[in-house]
Amino acid sequence: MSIRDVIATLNQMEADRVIERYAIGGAVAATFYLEPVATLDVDVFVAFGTEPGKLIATPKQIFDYLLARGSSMKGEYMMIGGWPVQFLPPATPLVEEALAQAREIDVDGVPARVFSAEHLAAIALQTGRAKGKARLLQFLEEGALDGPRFQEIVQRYGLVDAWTRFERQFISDKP
Amino acid sequence: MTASMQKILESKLALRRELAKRPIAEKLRMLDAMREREVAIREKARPR
Repeated sequence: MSIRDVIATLNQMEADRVIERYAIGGAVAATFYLEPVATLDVDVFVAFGTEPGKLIATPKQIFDYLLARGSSMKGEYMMIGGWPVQFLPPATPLVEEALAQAREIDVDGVPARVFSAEHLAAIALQTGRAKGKARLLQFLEEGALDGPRFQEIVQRYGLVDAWTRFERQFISDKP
Repeated sequence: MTASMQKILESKLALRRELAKRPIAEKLRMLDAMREREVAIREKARPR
């Protein structure tokens, strides 16, 4: 069971042109910047292609490729290297940008593309889930963010109010 | 907050920072191990 196997498979899928570009998000991506964050699955963001004659983009090509190479499906997940991997389309402009501007980070000689810390933090803010807010706090407490870059993303994606609420709730002591 | 509680929180933050600075490959191996443990615990907790 190894995340490295997942990364190697994603790189091979890119080399084989099954996917154009991938980036890892979620807790696994956060682990590149923070302490390891326990998770049960891997979120991989990819732009899905369209099948000939169809208008709706699907991950069918990805599934077919992986099934032919011994992976299995478990619900919405593909099992790779023992990990359930979920392939997700970039559903918002912020996630699209996170995918386009993802960083390539070396893992013992294997390149892995992951969302930047600032995009992960902004997505957590935008999503507004409890675990996302906890992760955002971790990024802040551990000084893992480029502050000006994060604030620039917050402003550009209309997250200033959400940030103000978050600050009031978790950072300042103001009622 | 009491001084002892403050000290506990500071030491927890220091540990998290120390873990965060470890090489990425090592952190990913820790993720693998944590998931294996969590899967095993869920399997055992599943009603038979």
